[in-house]
Amino acid sequence: MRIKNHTVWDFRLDLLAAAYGRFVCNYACPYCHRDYFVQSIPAQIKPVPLVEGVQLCNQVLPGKFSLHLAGSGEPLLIPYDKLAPIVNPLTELENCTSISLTTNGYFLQDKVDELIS
Amino acid sequence: MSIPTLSPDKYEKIMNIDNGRAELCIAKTIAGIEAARDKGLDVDLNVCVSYDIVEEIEAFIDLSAKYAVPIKLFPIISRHNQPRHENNNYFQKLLTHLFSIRSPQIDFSGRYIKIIWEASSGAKLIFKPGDFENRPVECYECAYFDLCEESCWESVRISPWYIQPCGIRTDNIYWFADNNLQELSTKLSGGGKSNAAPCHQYSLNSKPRTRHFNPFKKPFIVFEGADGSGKSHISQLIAKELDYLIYKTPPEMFRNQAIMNLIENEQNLLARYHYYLSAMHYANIEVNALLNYSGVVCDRWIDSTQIYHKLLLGESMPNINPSDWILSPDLIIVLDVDESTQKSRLLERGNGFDKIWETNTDFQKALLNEYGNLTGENVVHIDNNNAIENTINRIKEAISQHVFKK
Repeated sequence: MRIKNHTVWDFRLDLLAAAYGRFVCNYACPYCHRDYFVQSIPAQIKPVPLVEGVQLCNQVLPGKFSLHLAGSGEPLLIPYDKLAPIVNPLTELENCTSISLTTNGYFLQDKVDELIS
Repeated sequence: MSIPTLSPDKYEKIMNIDNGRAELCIAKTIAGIEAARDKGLDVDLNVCVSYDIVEEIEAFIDLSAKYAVPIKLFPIISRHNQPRHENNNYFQKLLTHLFSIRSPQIDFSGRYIKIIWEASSGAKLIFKPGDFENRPVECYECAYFDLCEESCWESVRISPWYIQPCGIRTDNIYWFADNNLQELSTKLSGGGKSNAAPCHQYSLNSKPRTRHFNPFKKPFIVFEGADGSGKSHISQLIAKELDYLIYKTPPEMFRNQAIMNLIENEQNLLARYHYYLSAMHYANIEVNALLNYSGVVCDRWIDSTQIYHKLLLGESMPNINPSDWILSPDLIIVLDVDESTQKSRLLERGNGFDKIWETNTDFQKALLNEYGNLTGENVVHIDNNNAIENTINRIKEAISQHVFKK
């Protein structure tokens, strides 16, 4: 494996798809690249929890990794009771060095305490 | 976090929202930054430049300093095979402005080159000159995948249904339903996570790639010529005309007068040569990176380094062949002048950096001769003894013929 210069893998997670299965955003930015993730999912394929995807990737790409929560829309639209079951297992992964989140910032002031908790 | 502008008027236009809502959105974003920083969270602010924000760049710098938030500048990313977004001219305008007001620092420490403008206030503007605008269909088609933000060595997309080993390739998805670790391993390799084919051919240890491998690279035009031939003035005019970035070698950070005082004498000419080669190594990486975004007009390139030191060192010139590693321009325009024109131009300007050789008549004569003999497939000579309008017209013809009709 070419990991000579590797320090930390960067795993980018489609949080909105995990919560809603589709693109959800309060903005319609003209520069948004919605093709960040593949959009057409064959109907017969069943979803798996994101944490399992991360663990699988980490088996093949061993070592430390950082998690970047982004994906199809604005992650802070996800209510806490829906967000916590997705994100909490991620925070317990041994090789995870950091978790970051991409947001348009509109809800951040109101949700920053939830995020930290 | 992201925000495209700090101006409510522009915000309304960019985001296509109702009158009055823009101010609220901007205020909410800034309040979000403040709240996150208050709680000790690190924040990066992404600014996708989709409008003319040159006038508000100082406001962004103030915002960056106030909250200790680095600002990352991006052009609009086009979909694969779509034309460059017309509003990306605004991004080019902003870059040109930033280069004109301050020399950036180049950070080579990470996987991706970063061009950083840092102010004493702590404000930080960052531009990663990857090939954002033109995403190739598959990474092995891209000569600059190692600069690419969407790919490749470290980043993996994970959704509830699949793993996407490379952010660009859509032919290389691993579906969880495949349920086969070997398959995942193969796909991760094919997405650039190992030395496996096809990406092995672009080992970072191999010789730097030349621009002809990358069909998306913008033109690189170099002006060469003896001192007083008019390069600086004319290269600026042409850069403005073409709306390209202007670049000058040696780059700003190598214009160090203290070092020049040490090496600018006959005892240290070899050190001088190596110093200039170091500068060209640096310039090579910087120009390569910039060409991913914009055309570049350059005042002197490697031929000047070679010609000067061939004359200064004579037979002591080491046998070094920079063409092994340096970018070959699309067009090298040599401005030819005769001795009297050169003399009068040199008299008009004072001595400055790197100018002690300008007063040496024999050296200047030899320089004129050497530049006059410069040849190559990509070299054209333009007489610059007469009216500047004539010179400019002939340069435009040469560029049109050699660069745009290729």
